[in-house]
Amino acid sequence: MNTAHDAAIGEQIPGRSFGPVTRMDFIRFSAATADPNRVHIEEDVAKAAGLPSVIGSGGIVGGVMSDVVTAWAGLGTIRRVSGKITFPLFPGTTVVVTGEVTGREERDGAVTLEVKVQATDENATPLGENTYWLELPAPG
Amino acid sequence: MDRKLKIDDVQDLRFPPVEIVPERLVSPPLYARAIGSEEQAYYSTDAALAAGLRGRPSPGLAFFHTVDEDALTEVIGVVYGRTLAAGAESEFGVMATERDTVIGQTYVEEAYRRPGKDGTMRQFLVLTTEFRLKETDELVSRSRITFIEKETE
Repeated sequence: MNTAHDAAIGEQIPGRSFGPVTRMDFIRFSAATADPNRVHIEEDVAKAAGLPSVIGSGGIVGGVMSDVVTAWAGLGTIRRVSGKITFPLFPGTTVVVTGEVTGREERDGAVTLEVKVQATDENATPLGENTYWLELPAPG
Repeated sequence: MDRKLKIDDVQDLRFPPVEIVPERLVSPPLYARAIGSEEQAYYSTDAALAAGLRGRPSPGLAFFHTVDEDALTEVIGVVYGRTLAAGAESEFGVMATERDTVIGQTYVEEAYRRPGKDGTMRQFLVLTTEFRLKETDELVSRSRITFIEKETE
């Protein structure tokens, strides 16, 4: 496995799985980020919104993706990220994060990654995807 | 709940800037546990310093740290649990630690209507939030989130 400095276009970065996520994870994340959205915590609020149960913050899915990226490239290397959550994160879901190098410029250490999160259910339900633009520090 | 996005009234709206010290709001170790991170800089100030950081990195700050729920609902019609967030993008500058003082401000970048795939009209509201270090005015993050609702009337 190459480092972020050596990785070629098309190379997979180390991914990881996470879960099964629990309601306590949702509560922990909401408390950690001061997220006021009660749909992550209160069953009644979630059901009033038409959901079968509470759902995890999109920040959990985004956070797991970003954590995979920074575990590979280093904290502080993400310059820009763009993406979307494609399916709610329900309690009991185990997620798998994968990422691929899709672009790089040797001159200034710029690297582009496509990162995806899927559930480990039988449909491999896509939960979210992000594009990351990184700026790597000079090697050495 | 019959409130809807108020896209006609909020063009160019800027909420007042707010001053935030992240450690009073957010928790790096709790954040890290919730996403299963093994990054030690979130858990330990010593590990963060050893990694060359000025302190434990703050988890990402967001629009809801700068606009309280009542203002969000009353002024622009976003209701937690009802209004769908259709996409987000962020750019990052310097890393804020939990003990930095940052200035956050949220503004309406765009508010418009357009038809969805089924032909019904939808309302879009793009909210942008910037955070800057108070001491240097350096950009910490600029995030755009797009809210979307089907138009019912």
